[in-house]
Formats: sequence, structure tokens, C-alpha cells
Amino acid sequence: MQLAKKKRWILASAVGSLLSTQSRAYGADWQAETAYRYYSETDRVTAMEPVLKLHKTESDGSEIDFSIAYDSLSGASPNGAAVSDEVQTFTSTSGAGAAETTTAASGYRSSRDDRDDDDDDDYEGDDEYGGGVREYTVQPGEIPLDPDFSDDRLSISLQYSTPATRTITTAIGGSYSSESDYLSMAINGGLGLSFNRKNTQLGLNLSLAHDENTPFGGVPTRFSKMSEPSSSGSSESKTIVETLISVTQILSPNAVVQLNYSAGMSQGYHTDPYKIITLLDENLDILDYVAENRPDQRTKHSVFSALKYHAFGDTIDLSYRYMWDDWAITSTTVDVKYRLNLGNVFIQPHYRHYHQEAANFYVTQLHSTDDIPDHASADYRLGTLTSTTYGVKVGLDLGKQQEISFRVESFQQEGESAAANLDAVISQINYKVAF
Amino acid sequence: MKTNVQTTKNTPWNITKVGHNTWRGSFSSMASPCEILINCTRRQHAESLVECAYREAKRIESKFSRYQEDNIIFRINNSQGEWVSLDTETTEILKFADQLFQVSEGLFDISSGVLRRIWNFQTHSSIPTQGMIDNMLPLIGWDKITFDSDNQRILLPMGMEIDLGGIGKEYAVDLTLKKIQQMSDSLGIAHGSYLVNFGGDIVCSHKTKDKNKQSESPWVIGIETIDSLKTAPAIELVAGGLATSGDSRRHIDHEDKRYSHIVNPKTGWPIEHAPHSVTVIANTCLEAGMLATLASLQGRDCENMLIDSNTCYWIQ
Repeated sequence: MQLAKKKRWILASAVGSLLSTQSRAYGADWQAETAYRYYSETDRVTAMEPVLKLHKTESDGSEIDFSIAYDSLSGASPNGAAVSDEVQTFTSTSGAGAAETTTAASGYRSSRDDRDDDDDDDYEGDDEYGGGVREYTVQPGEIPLDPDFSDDRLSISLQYSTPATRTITTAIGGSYSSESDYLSMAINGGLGLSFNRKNTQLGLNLSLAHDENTPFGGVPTRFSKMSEPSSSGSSESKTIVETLISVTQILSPNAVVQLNYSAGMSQGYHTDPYKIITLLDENLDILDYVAENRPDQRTKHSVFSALKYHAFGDTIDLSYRYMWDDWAITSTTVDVKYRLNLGNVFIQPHYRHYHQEAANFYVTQLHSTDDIPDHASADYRLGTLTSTTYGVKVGLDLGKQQEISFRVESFQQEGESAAANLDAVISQINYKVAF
Repeated sequence: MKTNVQTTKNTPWNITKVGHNTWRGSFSSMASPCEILINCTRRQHAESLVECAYREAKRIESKFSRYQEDNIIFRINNSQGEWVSLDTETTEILKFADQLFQVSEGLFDISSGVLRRIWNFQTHSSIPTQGMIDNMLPLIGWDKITFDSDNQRILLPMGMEIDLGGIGKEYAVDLTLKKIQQMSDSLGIAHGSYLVNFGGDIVCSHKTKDKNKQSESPWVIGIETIDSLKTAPAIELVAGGLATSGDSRRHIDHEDKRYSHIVNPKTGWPIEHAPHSVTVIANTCLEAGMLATLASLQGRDCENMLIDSNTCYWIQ
């Protein structure tokens, strides 16, 4: 008798659970995610970034992904000059009427990197600029910061993948991003093969990108002095080719591992047109500031491995990345996330550690007594860097296929130049819905 | 100019007025006549609700029908021993099927559909030999299937099949009512009563602002009788589900023995002494349908199970 009642109770709860999940809309398989991120460095840059992502799965297994993001940065950013015991005065080049300077801060760009976990490394030296006919002074002992910079960027990407056969998937995509003085366009194509009863997946991806840099005030002539500014043209460009090979292996219903290798080559203008280097005379007094100059080619490689493991209803995510390039930069990233599932709520602590060795042309200053090198940059992001991120994300399932989550992270960075030392706070709110 | 458009629109469903503020929409889906009864004041609203019901029924039919070649069931049944990725809805239904398998101790099994190849209850023809049955049994058993609900995927051994026919119609009935209610909310219909009937699997609801108000008249549901001499009982239902397991027309008579259409997946033989038809009333159509099916699978103990589980039922 009790058994029958118990069975009925089990049945009723199973029905309740099925029908309540079904009140979520399944007919349309659209998923939308909106996020708003706020990034703030102590005394430096602040960034606000609203993002909208749309995802659709078709009944034949095809998937469409669209995303649009806008970021707006403002604040103060290091110009590359060294700290001095004298008052330093800087002029910043710019086109007429452009009363703004633009640049990006390493912490912000690198914190953005934790979104892509496959092919990139923390160092990004590509997308930042400055400008504006202005003069600013920096007090003795202070880090030379370009005080009022702002930058707005719009980026759009579209990706489509479709199963060609039962075991082969093809994908194509494109992206576009634009700033007032920078334009980037990319296309990519990929192939996914599954075998071993779909327990093993091999991915091959090729991408091609073209960047166009149009700095305010023109492209500075390499190593040209701030006291006698000269320009070698109005714009420069860069082409990047990247390949990615990935293997994903399902070890058990609870564990998945992934191994990636990526190689990329870029050709063209890698220099940051707004970064300068302090030039010292024989008495080690400041003689002038010169424009930096980076090699026009870069080849980089990275390996990435990740493990996702489900246990006791929770999920642990571990990943490790090693990157090296022909500028002698090497970097390692370790990332750990633990998702604690508590019914409708989840709590996910996050830890990340990043270490980078300097590029072989990284300098803190140049000396007038020495020969001018082929390449040199004092951009702290090319120097030795160590950063640590601690954070937590809390998510709440609102039912009806909706989820809201909050993330707060603290980012701390140290490096060989004073400019590299910074603290930042990242906060983000996310809302996901399917309809 | 205001015109009253009668059903001149070219729609795959029909709508007629059957009483004061009562509309009846009809269409065909899942090999059954489907009927939507709507109690609301405006014809325009009733039409929107029937359209919405029709779309939901067709969506579920095309997604889960085993007769279609481009849906998830086809992909699972033709996966050649490889993992198949599942969407969330399919995963949830399979989780439900898994719970039914557990609670019925293996008698409710969505992999038992292959027995259709040897038991044909439509033609009332001969019965298979034990040898034929023995050849089929290795291809049956939900426990031989690897269902990984966490990663939303399934692995069927070669030659096995699944079939959601035992769940799909009841599921569609409840979900269609939900869709109607959602649509009714978005149309701003204050007091609407609805009944969804897909080939005898029924659910109904009514909405009133005052919970203590008894003014809502219940839906009256007649039960088809097998014996034409008996009068059809009428059930009054305000809200809830009703479903029937068994069908007097689906059985095999062979050498003076009647074989019911409910087959025991463990033996490959029809359940003995199962009633011709069991009708159950519960909170939802799905719950009623599953209770009726689980009870029928008990054979002679069918009625005991229904009594013990405090069910409101009708056995023929």
C-alpha cells in the first residue's frame, strides 16, 4: 500500500518537474545574454562595456552566434616615459579638433582575455593609441600618465556552424571592430571532426585579420623626438594569420579534457604610435622623449590545456596556458574556477595567475651615448609582469529559462617598471534568457 | 468598415461557436482528432488561442514523432552506436522516461517499441512465435542505453530504438494548455476557461479572480463505453487532467484468448488480465496518463494499484 503511494508521489513530482521545465519556452531556440561590465583601475582607467549576445540552435544542429559589444574607456594611461626626480612636460600629438587621447590599459585588456580560453595570451599590444594637441606635466617621482584619455570601441561578430555529415561540422565567421583611430576586420573558417563514438573531437581553425591604424597626428617616425615631431604617414596596417588545432576528449560522463595548439604570424605595424621612451644624456638627465619602434613581424605560439570535472553536483574548471613568441616574450596562465551548485543558486570562486617574461627590445629608457637600437619599447606591457586575479561569481536561476549573475574580481599586477604596478576592480552583471 | 470575418481564412484548423461564449477549435495532429474548447467572449481571441494550440501541437509532433526523418528521434535511432547530443527539452523528457522506468521496475520502457515489428494490434492478426520474441528481447532495455543527462547526450547500442509514443501525446496536451494560458495572459483575457483534448487525452483549466467563487461551470466529459448497452458516464471537471490507457479496438484475439495491446518489455508478451481500458483523473494529463499506463502494466493488480495510490479512476 505504502509502495503505491510512494510511487504515485514519485510520479507526481517527476511530472511536476518535467512540466515546470517545459513552461520555459522551447519552441524558439534563441538564447540571449546581456552583460554590463565595469572595470576600474585605481587612479587610472575606467571602462564600461555593455555586451549583447544572441545564440540560436536550429533543428538540424546548425548554430548561429551573434555578438555586439561597445566599450568606453576613460582615465589616465602610462605613456611609456620613465619616472624622474624632475617635473616632466609632455606634448601629445593629435589631429585638429580631436580633443581626446585614446589608449588602452593592460589590466583591462588582459581581464577581457579571460573570456577566450583557447588561442590568445595576456599580452595585447595592438589596439591602443593616444592623441590630442595638449601639454601635460607630471610631478617628480610620479608615473608619467597621459591624464585624459578616452576611447570608444564597437565590435560585432557573427559565427555560423553546421553539421556537414554525422561526424563533420563546418564553421565560418567574421568580425569587425572599430575605434576612432583603429579598424579591425577578421574572417575565420573551421572544421570539426568527431570520432571514437563522438568521444573525441578534433578541431581545425584558420583565421585571417587585417588591422588599420590611423593615429591622431599621423604615424610618428620611428624614434623621432618629441621636441622635433615628425610623421612618416597617416596610417599603417597589419595582417595576422592564425591557426588553431584542438583536441577535446570526453574521459567519462564527469570529465572532459581539451588540448589546443595555436600558431600565429603577424606582419606589418606593431608599434604603439602613442608610446614614447625617455632619452637620457651622458649625465643621466632627461634629454628628450622618442617614439618607440617595434619589429614589423611577430610569430607566436601557444599551448593550452583545460580540464572540466563534475563531482558532487559541482564543477571544477582548471586551465593552463603557455605562450612564446619570437620577441622572446613567454607567458604562463593558470586559471581555476569552482562552481558550487546550491539549487537555484550557484557560487563560483575564481583564481587566476599570470606571469610574463619581457620582450628582447623592452627598455626602461634609452641613452644618447649608445647607438640607437633597431627596436625598442618602454611599454610596460612588454616588460616582465605578474598578475593575480581573485574573484567570485554568484548566479541565480530565476526560472522561465532566465538567469542572472554578478561577478566581482580584484586584479593586482606587478612588473619591473613603476607603471606596471596597478590594482583594478572588475564588476559585471549578466542576464541570460531563452525565448 | 467593420466586418465579421467568418472562417473564410485558409487555416489548418477550424473554429465554430458551440455555445454562449464557447468556441470549439479543431485540427488533426499526432494521428488523433484534436479539440480545443475555449470559454471567452471574443471570437478573435478564440482564434488566436486555437492558432497557438495548433502550433504547439505541431511543434511537438514534428520534434518527437518517430515517423519523421529529420528530427531528434530519427537522429537517435539512426546513430549507429555513436553519442547523440540532445537539446534541453529532449533531455528533460528522457529524464522523465528514466524515472518511469525506475518507478515501474522496468515495465515502462521507451525502448520496447521494436516489439511492434512482431506484434501488430491494428490488424488483429496472428501472434508471434517465442523464437521471434527471443530475437527481439536483446534489443530492448532502457538500462542498456547510456543516457548522460548532465552533458545532454545519449548512446544507443546498435539496433536499438526509442519511441516517445507513450508519453508524447499527454505531454503535448499539458504543454498546449500552458501555451494557451500564456497566450491568454498576453491577450489580457480576464476569465478564460480552456479544455484541450487530443484523442481522448484531456486537460482543462479555468481562471477566475475570486477563488471562492463557484460560478465557474465545470467541463463535462463523457467516457466512451465499450459495451454499447451501458450508458456513458459523464465526469464533471473544472481543472485537471484525464487520460485513458488501453483501447477496446487494439488487441489480438487468438484461439479464444485475448491479447491486450500492452506488452511486457521484459518477456515480450502482452500483459495478462490487463483491463480493456483504464481512465484516470489527476492534476495533469501527463500524470493521469502515466498512472493509467502504470496501472495497466500491473495486469490483474491494476485496480489494487489505483486504489492504493488514491487515484480517481474508471475501469472497463
